[in-house]
Amino acid sequence: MTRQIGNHGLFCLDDDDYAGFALALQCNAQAIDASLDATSDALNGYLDRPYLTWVNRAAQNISTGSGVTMPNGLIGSPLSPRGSNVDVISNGIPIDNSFWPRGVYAVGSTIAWTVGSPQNGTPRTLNLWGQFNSNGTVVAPDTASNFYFTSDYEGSTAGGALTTSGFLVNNGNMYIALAALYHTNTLGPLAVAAGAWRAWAIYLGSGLEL
Amino acid sequence: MPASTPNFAIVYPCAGDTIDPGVFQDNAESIQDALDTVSALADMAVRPAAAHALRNASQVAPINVSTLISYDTEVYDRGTIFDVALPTLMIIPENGSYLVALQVNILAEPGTTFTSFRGSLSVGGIEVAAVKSDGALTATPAYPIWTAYFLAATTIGTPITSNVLVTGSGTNPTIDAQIVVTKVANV
Repeated sequence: MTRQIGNHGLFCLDDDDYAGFALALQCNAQAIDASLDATSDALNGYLDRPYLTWVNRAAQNISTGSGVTMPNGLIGSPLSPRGSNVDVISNGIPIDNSFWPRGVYAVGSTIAWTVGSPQNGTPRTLNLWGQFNSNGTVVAPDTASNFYFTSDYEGSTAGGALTTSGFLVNNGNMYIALAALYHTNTLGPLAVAAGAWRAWAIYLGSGLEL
Repeated sequence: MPASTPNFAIVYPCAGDTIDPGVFQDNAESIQDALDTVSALADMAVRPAAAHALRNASQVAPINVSTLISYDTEVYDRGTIFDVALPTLMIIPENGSYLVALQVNILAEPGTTFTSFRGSLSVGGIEVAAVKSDGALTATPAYPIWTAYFLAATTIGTPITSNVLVTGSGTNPTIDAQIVVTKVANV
């Protein structure tokens, strides 16, 4: 009789089973093939991980007081992967209303601007968060998780740059990540050149119990 | 019956009418090839192309001039990304997507007025990421800034450079820095 050993589907033969040699060796070859194929698929999935990048395609002016309400209640001008003014590279992350693959994402954004009428000491923050939708209802963004920002204050040299990064945890209900710039320079807008505002999300893995 | 398995073409050792040692050798060699293929994938996953370079010795950053950061120390380099003979460059070693991170510290600030400190990353000569600190800065101890960028679907040979700009007046400041490049996806 042939006996299966271990957990990879491999067989061995007993002394009195010479007639089963050919089939057992074929089964072993097939088991090795199937086991390696599963491992290969898992590794290729890891190496071809989903990601998304989006960058502003055209120059834009960012004024105060307009845009989207951010998780902290302030209003910022957004850079959305679904915007009309962005170039997007997506590897397996949807940019429609579909949910993103469940799991953990490393996210980041970077922006540079000039300002014609700077107000010394006014803040600028670059914000980054995930939007969630549960059973058709958009969930209010949480400031305690899935929300990151970096800030600076306008100095005596007009113009600036910020970079923000963090991690988003998608329990299955996240459908978009947004970056937004907030500032209080009421004397004039911040001017962002084409290609000077970029954001990204990189799938790290499914995470535990997600 | 088929002479080999469907995915890795592992030869069935007793598929013919006679027992042939040569076929057993084919079987062993095809298993070896299959293991090599999967091992190569595992190696790419566990040990991706990556490099970490430092500017260890202080570098003068002439005040009010955007200056290429020149790295003098290789911490590690898998994939020939960094060469100290080309100290301002990190070169993408193979097609794929990469994370790049830069940190810069001011070691000695300008003597009179120190107004801003900016670091940036460029890809193919185009700035793709930046950070700037304004206002009343102090550089004791070292004052770090950082920025990062995700370089998606990039082709082999793409150059990455980094710059620093300190504004103000007085003596030229000095900096040190580090840069890390890591491949995170094959596509």
